Amino acid sequence: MSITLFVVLVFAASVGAGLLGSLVGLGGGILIVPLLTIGFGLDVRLAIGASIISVIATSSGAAAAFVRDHLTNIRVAMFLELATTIGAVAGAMIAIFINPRLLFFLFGGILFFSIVPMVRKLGETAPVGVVNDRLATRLRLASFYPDRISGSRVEYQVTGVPLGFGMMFVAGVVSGLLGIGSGALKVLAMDTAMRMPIKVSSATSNFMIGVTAAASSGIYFWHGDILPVVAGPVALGVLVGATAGARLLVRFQSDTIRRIFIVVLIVISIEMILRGAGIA
Amino acid sequence: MNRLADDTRTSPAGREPGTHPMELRISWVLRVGVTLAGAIVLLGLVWYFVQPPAGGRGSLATLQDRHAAGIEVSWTSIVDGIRHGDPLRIIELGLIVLILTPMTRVALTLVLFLMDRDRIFSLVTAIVLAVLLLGFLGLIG
Repeated sequence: MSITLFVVLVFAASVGAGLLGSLVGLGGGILIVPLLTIGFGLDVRLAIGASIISVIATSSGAAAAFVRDHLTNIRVAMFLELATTIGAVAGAMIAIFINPRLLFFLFGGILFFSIVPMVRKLGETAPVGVVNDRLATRLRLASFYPDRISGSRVEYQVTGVPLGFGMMFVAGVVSGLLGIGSGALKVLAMDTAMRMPIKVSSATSNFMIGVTAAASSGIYFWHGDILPVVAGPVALGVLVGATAGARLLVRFQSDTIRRIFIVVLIVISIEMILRGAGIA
Repeated sequence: MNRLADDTRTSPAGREPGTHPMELRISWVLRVGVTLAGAIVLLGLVWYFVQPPAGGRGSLATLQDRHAAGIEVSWTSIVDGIRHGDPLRIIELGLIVLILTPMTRVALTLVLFLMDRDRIFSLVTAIVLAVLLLGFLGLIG
C-alpha cells in the first residue's frame, strides 16, 4: 500500500473511532490498535504509538466541552491522576519485559465479569443514597452537575475512594502497557467503586485519559514508535470525531450512553480474551 | 475564594454552572492546545503531499522496515528538520504540542491550587506534573 492511500484511509477510520470513543468515554485507542494491526497489518509498537497520541487528542478535544458544561469533577480527576500517571509510566516501562498477551487475557476477563452489575443498574439514572467516605470528605470531592433534561442541579457525593484509587493505578498500568486510555476501567472505578453518576464518570474519565496517556507517550516517542505519517492522520481523524461526539453526549439520556457502553464493553472483552488466547 | 471546590463556592446569580471561571480557563487551554496541534499536524500533512520528500513518499512496507531497524528521535533532529521545512518534523512538532496540552492543563491547575492555598491538592498536582515532565523529557523509560 502507498503511504498516500494509507494516510487517507487511516484518517477516515480514525474519525469513526474518535466519534464512538468520546460517546462512551473510552480513549478511542481501544479501537485504534486493532484497526492498525488487524486492518492495516501494522507493527504493534507503531499501533500503540499512534494510539497513545490519539488517546490524548480524544480526551483533550472532548474534555474541553465536558469541563465547560460542568460534567467533569476536576478534584476527583486530579487526585486519581496521581495513581494513573505513575501507573502509566510503570506500564510503559514493564511493556519491554512482560508478554502483553497475559494482560490482554486478564483485562478481557475482568471486563466481562464487570458487565453483569452494569446491566442490572440499567434503569438507574443517578446512584441513590451515596454518602462521602472519609477521604472524599477530607479532599472535598462531592460536587453537582447540571441535568440538561430536567434543567436542575444534581448533587452527588463520592464513596470508595481507596478502592477507586487502586483501580486507577491498574488503569494507568494498562494504559501505559497497551497504549489505550483505559477509559473503560476508569469509568468502572468511578461508577462501581466510587458510585458517581454515569455522566460525571464518563466526563471525568475523558478528562483523566489525556494526562494518563501523556505520561507514557514520551517514552514511546523517544523510542521512535510514534511515526508522523501514522500518528498524524490518526490524531487528526480522532480529533474531528471526538469533537462531534462531545457535542452529541450532552443531549443523550444516561440510559442510552450506558447501553452503548455495555455493548462496547462486551465487544472489547471478547476481543481481548481472544487476543490473549492467541486466537484473534 | 475557592476556585476548585464546588461544595464551598457560591454560584453568582444569573450564571449558568458551566460558566465557572476556573473551568472556562481549563477548557480554553485544552481547546487552544488541541486546535493548535491539529493545525500544525494538518499543515505538515498537506506539505508532505504537496512537496514529496526526495526519493518519494514510499510504501508502508519500507516504512515498517525502517521502524524495525530502529528510528532515532532527538531534539536536534526535530529542530533541524523544522528549520529546513521537513514536513515530517512539522507533524512531529504538532504531536509534541498535543502531548504538551494535558501537561499545560496540569500546570494551570497547580497554579490555581497554589493560589487557593490548598496544600494537599498542590502537592498531588505537583507530583503528577513531575511524573509528566520526566516522561516528556525522556528521563525515564
